[in-house]
Amino acid sequence: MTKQKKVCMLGAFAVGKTSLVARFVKGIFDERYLTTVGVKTDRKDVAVGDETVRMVLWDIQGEDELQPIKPSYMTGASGCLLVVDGTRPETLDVARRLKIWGEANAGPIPFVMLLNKVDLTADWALQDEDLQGDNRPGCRVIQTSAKTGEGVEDAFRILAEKMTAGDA
Amino acid sequence: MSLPDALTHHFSSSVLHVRRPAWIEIDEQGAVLQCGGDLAYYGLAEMRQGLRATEQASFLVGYVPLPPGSEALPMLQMPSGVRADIHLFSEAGHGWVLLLDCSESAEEQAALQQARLDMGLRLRRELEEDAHGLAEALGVLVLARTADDTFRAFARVPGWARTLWPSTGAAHVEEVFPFLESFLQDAEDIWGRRRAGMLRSGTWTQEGPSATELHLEATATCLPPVGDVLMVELLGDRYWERQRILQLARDRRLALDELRHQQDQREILLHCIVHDLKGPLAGMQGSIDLLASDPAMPPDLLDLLGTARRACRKQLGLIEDIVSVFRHGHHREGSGVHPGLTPPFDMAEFAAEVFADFQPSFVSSGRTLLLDVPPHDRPLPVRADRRRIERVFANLLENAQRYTPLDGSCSLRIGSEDGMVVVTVSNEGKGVPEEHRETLFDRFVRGPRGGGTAGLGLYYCRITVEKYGGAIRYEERPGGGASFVFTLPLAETA
Repeated sequence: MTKQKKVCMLGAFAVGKTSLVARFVKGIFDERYLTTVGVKTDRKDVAVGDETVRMVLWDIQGEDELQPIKPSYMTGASGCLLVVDGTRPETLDVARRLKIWGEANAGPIPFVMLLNKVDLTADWALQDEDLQGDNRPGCRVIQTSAKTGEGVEDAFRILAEKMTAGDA
Repeated sequence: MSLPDALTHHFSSSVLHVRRPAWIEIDEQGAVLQCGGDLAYYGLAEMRQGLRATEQASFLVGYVPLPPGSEALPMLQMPSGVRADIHLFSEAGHGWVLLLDCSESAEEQAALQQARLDMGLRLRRELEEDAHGLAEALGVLVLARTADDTFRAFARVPGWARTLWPSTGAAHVEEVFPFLESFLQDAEDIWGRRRAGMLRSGTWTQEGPSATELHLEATATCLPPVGDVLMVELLGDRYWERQRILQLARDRRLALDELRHQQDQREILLHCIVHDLKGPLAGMQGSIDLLASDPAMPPDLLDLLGTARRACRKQLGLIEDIVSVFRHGHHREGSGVHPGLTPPFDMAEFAAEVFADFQPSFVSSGRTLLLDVPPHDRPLPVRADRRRIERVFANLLENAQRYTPLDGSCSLRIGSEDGMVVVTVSNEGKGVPEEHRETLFDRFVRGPRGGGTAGLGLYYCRITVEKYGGAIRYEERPGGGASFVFTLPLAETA
């Protein structure tokens, strides 16, 4: 039996949310930055144990003063991927703020924080101490690269497992 | 009103002939006293005296006993099927019911009403057809909600939606457009009339036929003839226009962030280099001072040490400029003075000290420095960091010395005007060419002849005097040469 779970992708603009979905769903990557307007929906089935979880992915526009996010986007979400650009430390603050906002609108759902663009080692700007307090039971932190695919499958699978863990 | 007998006769015969009158007289208990006329025409042929009127003519129920005055009931359908105008009136305690045939006019009216109705229906169909065509032309999928919360296409399904939405029958919106699942809940406020107007879903993108991307937006509203309506619109060029503007703004934001990042790195590097340069120079200056303090030092060596000390001081001054400029760029110090934090000093007295320091250097280089302080009846106090103002004087005087020809003279003039102290440093050089004047006080701008400077001196002067509420400008010196004029606010003294 397939369980359907809504997953919201949240993060500042240009952190790579759309690229992560494209890598996860279609296995492709495009270097060009193409900003998302509104929401892009997509879906992919993930095997969790003997079950199949259909992840309905809501790739939500990057959050800033130009494009505020509607709270209703979070309605019915079962999990959330917070995306951070590891070369832009300020996007970590945005992700933390969005986590609080997401919990306020969707309740206590599982979060996974993706530190994306890990392939850009020369520009990497996050230190372990910057992330103190982020890696806790309700929110795993994983390094990813939409470009190379590193960590991407793991991140989505871990969220799928967390989302189904509470199901009877 | 009285009428001629001929008219009265004509009226009564017309009424008798055309309107087929019938009448019923009813007593106070509601029984028929008498009746007559063409009752059979109205299907009331069985009307009998002594029996209750309402039991024989049901259209009288509620009107018997007849109230005082008169009342008319137009175009009532009678038991025979014909239409009659009923006139009810009372007279001498008895009620009278007069029936007059109006079948012909009733038919005419019914025909008119039917024609009006037909025309209305045809107009509505045409309007609907137009609306359908319009919705299709605009690429809008118009869906009407059914009783079981599914939706059916109200207008024709536009081309882009034909593979998604059935042209007939109903479907679940959230299965076709998963994005709208939560929006439908919000839309209940509109459909439940708890909120007026319409609600927009915001833009979303989903996969369409042949893996194309569809950029869509939905609007929930109520249209009285249709009911709860959901319009799903293919945004097309509007999406790309919105995307282009947003892309432009974000690309610029990213470029700006990158520029700031690079700037930070450059300035940090500059800061490190400057401090590494300053350390050895301070050591050299200390050693020179130590050597010069030796009483046994021969005079010719003392002169050389003096030259070395001046070179050190000049170099340290340059480094100080760079550091100040760096700090200014990095921290964007605000202008204005903090009274109480910076004690005032007399600019005339200070300028005299500066003059005394620099005059020997001018003399030894074959140039003259003149001090011009017009007589004034009170001090000229300013609030500023003396050390930084001294650097302003030093930069301007070193420039003046550099650009003044041998045997030429420079002047340092102090005055006041409109609540400001005005300091003018002039030289007899060639002046600044027109094309260099606009950027003269900018960072890293070097004079027309360069002169081995870093292009920071005049920038330093500007940021310093601006910090204390003043300004600096360039003027042509009358008779040739250049004048640099800076002002600082006269401080209030207690």
